Amino acid sequence: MMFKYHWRSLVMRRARTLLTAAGVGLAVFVAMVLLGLAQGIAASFRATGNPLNVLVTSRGAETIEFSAVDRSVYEVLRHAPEAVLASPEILFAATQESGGRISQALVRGVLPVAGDVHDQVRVTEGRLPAAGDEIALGPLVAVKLGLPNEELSVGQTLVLDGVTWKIVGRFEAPGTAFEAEIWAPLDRVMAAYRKEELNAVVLRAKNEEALDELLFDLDTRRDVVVAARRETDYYAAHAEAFRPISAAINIMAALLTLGGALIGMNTLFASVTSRTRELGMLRTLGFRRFQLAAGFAFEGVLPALLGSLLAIGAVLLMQGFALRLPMGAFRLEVGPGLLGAGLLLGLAIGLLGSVAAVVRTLRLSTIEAIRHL
Amino acid sequence: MKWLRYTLHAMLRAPIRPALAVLAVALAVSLFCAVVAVDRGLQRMLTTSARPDVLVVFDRFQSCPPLSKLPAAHRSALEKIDGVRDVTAELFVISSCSRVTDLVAVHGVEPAKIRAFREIELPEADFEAFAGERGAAIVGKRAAARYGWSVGETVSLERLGGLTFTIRGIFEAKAESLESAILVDLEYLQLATNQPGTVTLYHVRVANPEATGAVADAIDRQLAGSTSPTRTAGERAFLDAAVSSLSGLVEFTALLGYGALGLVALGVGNSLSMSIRDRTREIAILKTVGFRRPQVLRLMLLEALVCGVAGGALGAAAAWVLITASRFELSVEGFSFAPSVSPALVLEGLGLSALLAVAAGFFPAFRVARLKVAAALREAD
Repeated sequence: MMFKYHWRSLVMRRARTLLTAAGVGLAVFVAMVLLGLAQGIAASFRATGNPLNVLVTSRGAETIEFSAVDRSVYEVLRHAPEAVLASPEILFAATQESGGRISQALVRGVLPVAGDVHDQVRVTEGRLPAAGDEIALGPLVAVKLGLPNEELSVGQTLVLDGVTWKIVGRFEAPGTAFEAEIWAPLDRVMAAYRKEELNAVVLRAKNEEALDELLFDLDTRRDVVVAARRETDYYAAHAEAFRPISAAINIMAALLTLGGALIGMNTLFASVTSRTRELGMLRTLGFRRFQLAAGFAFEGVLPALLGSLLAIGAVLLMQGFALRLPMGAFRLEVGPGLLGAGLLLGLAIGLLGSVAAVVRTLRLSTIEAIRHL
Repeated sequence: MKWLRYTLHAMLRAPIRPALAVLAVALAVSLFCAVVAVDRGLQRMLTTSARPDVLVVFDRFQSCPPLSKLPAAHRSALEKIDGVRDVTAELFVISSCSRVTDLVAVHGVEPAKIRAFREIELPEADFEAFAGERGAAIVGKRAAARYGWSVGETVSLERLGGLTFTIRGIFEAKAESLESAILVDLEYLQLATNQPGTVTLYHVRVANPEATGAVADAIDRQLAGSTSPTRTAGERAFLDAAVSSLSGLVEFTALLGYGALGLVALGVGNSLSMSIRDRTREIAILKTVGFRRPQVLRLMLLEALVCGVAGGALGAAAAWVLITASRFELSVEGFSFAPSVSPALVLEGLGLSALLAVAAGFFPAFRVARLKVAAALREAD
């Protein structure tokens, strides 16, 4: 019965309800996009790497690109008894020029074994590069290079730093940093880019104990001086470096939520004020303060939820929207988490927006309310 | 003026509603100023750091500029090329290439040439002390503030393999990204990082700024056959390419900032339509005593304007204070920049907020201005 009363009140003040919903919707929409961005970027680093992989780089190098590992190190490490697979790799940003615009994408020079070591990478079309001027690439390379996806299908060519490469495969590795990489044969890349040293060697340990032994061994042995860490730790550290930006984004989302709540609060407060007399009447009829307050909370939450549904609809339209970033590229994935966050934000805005109205209702004295003009 | 007083009185009579609207506007405007300030900061870094007559020569095969490696021997080849007026070498040592925050950048420079190429300001005695001592450094004022360094201090950077230097001066620079950098002697840095004879890039000053393209081509042609082929670009193009990966993110958030301004329109429009609803009777009385439509319209829009301006001013001021107080800094490929809140940005936020508020107020104001007096008096009952 009470809900019907509030529902009618919302429908009667249609314009006001819709305006409020639009305000909340806008706030929730921008907040969701920001949150999706922050979560997605952090998650792509957290999700990258196999828990049994050990990343070997030179000591003192904070990123793979900065590391230099002699090829002989790979020859030694590939025979380590604790390791079942070893992948020598180089990783660097290659440049592509089209129409005077320069863009860059990460190239990973690999041997075929890389496909097994990085088992998050799944070939969707064609194959991984084997030799010569062959490359395979992930779905976000197009974003990173600012090219239409069709230009990067299997059979096409791609010119990087003056070298023409043939695309022989496409792969995907959902939610990981590999999605924005181009893979090419190690030896061809080293020759084309005049590189003499590897950037890293990735080892796959037999099992968890072997992994610990491997880490200890690499840390202490004298013949190869390298730094070794879990591959997952390396990418997690990247996510860590992103933290200040995440924090800024979260603050912005919180401010937006507050902004939306203020608009909702305004509407509902006015709604309560203009109905003071009506409220007095309801109290006289025997409705409890608490009942009335709950009703107003409902009246506040409903348009807010409508707004967040609108926002969710708009965000769903942005599904797959992609953005270039320093460490690769990012795609807005609209998952249950983000949708849930949208609903929660709407709910929070609605509840927060009802606070003023609820407090007023609870403090209202029946006699004064009836006397109110 | 009397209308303004009237409007303010009317707003203060029921202060909660306009206060909430003003707060919502303030939040939207502060958000707008904050994200757009990051974009402006990036643009400012690019414009202050790029010199029109300077070319940057770096490794043809290395697109992260700090990873570029060129031999010291290129210098003599560069000096011989037609149109080249002066050449200086720099060695970058930075902690990371793709990270966007928390980056340490050390530049090895030639003390004898640095001031011909970079506008840096510090006491002459400090500069002399720096130039005369191996292992001395001068640091940008932002780097000094961030790490709490002072002149005379000896610093060892663990993240750069224990690189040690003594700070002899703190400088201000016209090029913004330089103010976050640490400058040490080139040869000292080469030896300390175990790469003698290696530089990261050359800065080449051309005699005729119109001819930069031709000189750049000549340099790349000349060195194409050497052991380290080069890529030469104007400094602006070089910087644009270096920050290109971050600029996407920055521009996108700035766009969202403009979107957030929509909250101004919705907040003020909402508040005004409610205010009008509550004041229908008052407006009818105004019309009865002779107010014309345009006057009523103006009166209502004035209320929207007050909300927009008050909220905008509050929001812009909050953003200004927050950004100035925080030492938030972004870096990409070794180039750092901080958000920049300029008076122009504050005015833009304020202006857009006022404009949107008035635009949003137009519909409810127009409707009430057209109201028939008799109907209005009846409706209010």
